[in-house]
Amino acid sequence: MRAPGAEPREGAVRALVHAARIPAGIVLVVVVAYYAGSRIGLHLKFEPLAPSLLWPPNAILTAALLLAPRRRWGLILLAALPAHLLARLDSPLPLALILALFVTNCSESLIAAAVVRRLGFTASGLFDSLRAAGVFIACAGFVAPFASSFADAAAASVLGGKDYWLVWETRFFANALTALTLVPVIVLIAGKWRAWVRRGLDRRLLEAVGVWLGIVVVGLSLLDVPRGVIGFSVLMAVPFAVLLSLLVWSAVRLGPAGSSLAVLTVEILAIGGAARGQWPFDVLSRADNVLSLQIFLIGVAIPLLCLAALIEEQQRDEEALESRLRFEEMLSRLARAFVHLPSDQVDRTIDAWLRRLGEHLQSDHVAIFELSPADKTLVPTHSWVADGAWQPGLSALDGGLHDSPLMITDYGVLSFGARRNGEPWPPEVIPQLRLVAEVFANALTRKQAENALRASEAVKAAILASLTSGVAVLDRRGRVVAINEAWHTLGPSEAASAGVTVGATCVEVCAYALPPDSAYAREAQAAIEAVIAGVRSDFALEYPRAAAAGERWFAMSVLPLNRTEGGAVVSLIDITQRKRMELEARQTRHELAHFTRVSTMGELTASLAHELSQPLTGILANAQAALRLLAAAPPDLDEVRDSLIDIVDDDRRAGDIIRRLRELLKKGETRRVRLDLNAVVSDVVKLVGSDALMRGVAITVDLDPALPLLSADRVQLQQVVLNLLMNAMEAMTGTVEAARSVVIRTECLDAGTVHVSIEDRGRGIALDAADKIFEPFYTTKPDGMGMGLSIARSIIEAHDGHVWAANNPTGGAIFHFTLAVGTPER
Amino acid sequence: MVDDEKSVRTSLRRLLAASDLDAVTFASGQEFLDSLRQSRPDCLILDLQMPGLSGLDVQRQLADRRLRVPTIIITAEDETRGASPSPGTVAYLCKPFEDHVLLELIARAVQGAPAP
Repeated sequence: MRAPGAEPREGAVRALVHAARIPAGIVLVVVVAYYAGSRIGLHLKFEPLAPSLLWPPNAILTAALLLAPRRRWGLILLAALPAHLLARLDSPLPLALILALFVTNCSESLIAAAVVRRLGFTASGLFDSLRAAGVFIACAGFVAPFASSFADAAAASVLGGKDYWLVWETRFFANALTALTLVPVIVLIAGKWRAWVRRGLDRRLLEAVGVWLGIVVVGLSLLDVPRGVIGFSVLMAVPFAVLLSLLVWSAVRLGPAGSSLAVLTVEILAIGGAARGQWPFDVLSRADNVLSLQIFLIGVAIPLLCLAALIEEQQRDEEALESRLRFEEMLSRLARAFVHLPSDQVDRTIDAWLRRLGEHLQSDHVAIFELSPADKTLVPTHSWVADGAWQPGLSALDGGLHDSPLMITDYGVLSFGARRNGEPWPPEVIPQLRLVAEVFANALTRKQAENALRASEAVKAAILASLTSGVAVLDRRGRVVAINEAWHTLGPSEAASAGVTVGATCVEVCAYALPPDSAYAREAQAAIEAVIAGVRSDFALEYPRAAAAGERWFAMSVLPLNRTEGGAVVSLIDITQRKRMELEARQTRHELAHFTRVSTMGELTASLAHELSQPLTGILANAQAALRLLAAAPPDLDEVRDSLIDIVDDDRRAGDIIRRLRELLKKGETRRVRLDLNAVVSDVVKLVGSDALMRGVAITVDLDPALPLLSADRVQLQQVVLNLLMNAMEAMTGTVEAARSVVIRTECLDAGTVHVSIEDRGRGIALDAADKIFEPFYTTKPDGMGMGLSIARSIIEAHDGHVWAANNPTGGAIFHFTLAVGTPER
Repeated sequence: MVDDEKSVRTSLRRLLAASDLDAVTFASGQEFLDSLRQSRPDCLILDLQMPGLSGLDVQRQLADRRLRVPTIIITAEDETRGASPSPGTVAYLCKPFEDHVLLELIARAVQGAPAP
């Protein structure tokens, strides 16, 4: 079982090991390099010159300080101490001097690195511009060795008993030369080796190797010139010229690194040759040889380094310009690519452009995140990842991981990864990436809007398609802009429906929907045009149309289209079923009305018999009197003629009664004619005259002589008056006989309305019954069917009238109805 | 003869005249009752359904005045036959009726014979 807390402790240890990995690496590299440099330097040192001809340790330290962050400088210097001591284990010099020399070495490197940093330069850009190279030359190649050599010479003089100025001079030139040639090589190799390795074996590398081999061969050939040939001859001039050409070549073609390496190679060969006293270094004394060689090489190294830096600077500027132009051209194409781009291609195009951008900018990934409007979270929508790169997630937006561009727009975020070449993102690219982000955001926002619009259109189309009524939408010019499927099922035939599609005219719509060349079609067309023009607010029409399976009925309604551009919506419904039901209902009503008329007649049988018996009595008595008069001698012919005249009158009277009866009992179709309402009332009053007599009811008729003619069905109006009169008389069964009276009045309310009232002296209407008396099957009579008043109401309403009842303040009830004068039925 | 119907009055008066019977006609019961001050009929032909005083009202008033007038009631309705006959009623005649029936009834009424 593990002890509690073991796991955190292990984690802490692991983190510590991880954190210590980089410093350990630095210490190891510095120790090895400094030791090796010291051994080489000591190897190239020969008496009587105390300092070395070429002293790499200081250059190595300077390069390390330039490459490392300032916080590692102490570690680097501390790491150099054991290497310094180790390299001097076999040295005869006293320890104090060894330590003093370490201090002066360190001071030189510190001065060089600190001043370079102070002036704002770093290792990465130290040799790619003339100004930077100048600063390096001044600091590392002059100031640092110049200043530190005083201390070094003092130490050597005091602690080692050496000649002060000789030490100063030798050390200054040796260290200056080493710094000028070795530091660029180390710094540039450290900074660029990854890129070179990635580039592999290319022409530039082959060229560099070729130039370097050329320098080595020419340099060795110079040393191999046999002794005895004294002075500068033509034979000597050629290798020198070649060597110089190769050095210039290296500066021009291979950059500061190649140039420095070339000079360093020449330097090593020359110093080696000088040390061995080989020609051409055997003319002067060794000390003079070395000094002149150092001065010569410094003189060569400085302009070559400047030249290489200048060319590097120009090349870089050109490349930067070219790259910027390429990038701007790409941005221009990118912006053009999204103009008028259909929304269904936006995603694919963005993916393609993310890849192009990523590859061009050498980002290891590019991703777009959408800011969700609902929960304000970022959702990845598009991404491109370089081969082998890390897949970006939301954590890519943390920002703390690397200094990569992160563009925020209204749509969301466009994020880039680290650059694959290891270089930082150039600041001048950022505004352009902001433009790119805006282009993407615009395209995606437009796509969202178009998708939303399309979805909305789809919903509307689905609604239109699911309607069972036909719908045609017309624009301001009366042309069809939308039409649904149901419309095509309501036409007279498939062929006719084919003509009415989007773009069809108002005339075609009417020709399709309505009977051709009919009054309906003309009315509908004019009404649609009026609705579109804003003259009418709406229009509705019901019309029949012949069809294969018999007549069909349709209802057309036209409403203005509720949008600023105007237009109209025409809807079409098949109302055949409804019409059929209406017809059936009307038929039923008709039959019911007839039935109630017949049953009312049944109630009137006794009074009708009485009514008929009067003329029949007269006829019979007159006829028999005439016979008797004719049998007398002489016959009274005048009296006989009077009898016959009276017979004719009585017969007519009986005929009238039968006509009225037949009218009420017949079962004919409704037929509206121009009629005199007063005549209708009079007829009915005559019909019920006998009944009133039997009931002891006095009927008073008060008719307005100025009543206009009505457009109505005679029998139906007779039935209304009959029902109301019978109702009035029946209401008075409990009234004393002397008070039983009915007053029926007609009057003209206005030019279009007539009013009829029937006033009785009965029991009146109960308060709670006022609303119900016109309902079907409502009755207060034990043997009543409750249909009389209901039928009266349906007839009056069919004649655009109203019926109502109220109690008479002086007793009894008053029933009223109005009728519209109306126009004859079409 | 009392009947509110003019055609009935005229035709019956003409029939009776043709049979040598003298008839005076009245349009209402009240008119007849008023005439009793001048003359008294041998026989009364009385309609039953009339506005104002009905036939039965007239008979009631005759009884009230203790006047016994042989009366032939003429009516359009069969149902009244079932009603209790008033004093003096000779017969009911249902309209329309044959002339010889009426004349026979009148003759019987005038002779004082009871109704069959």
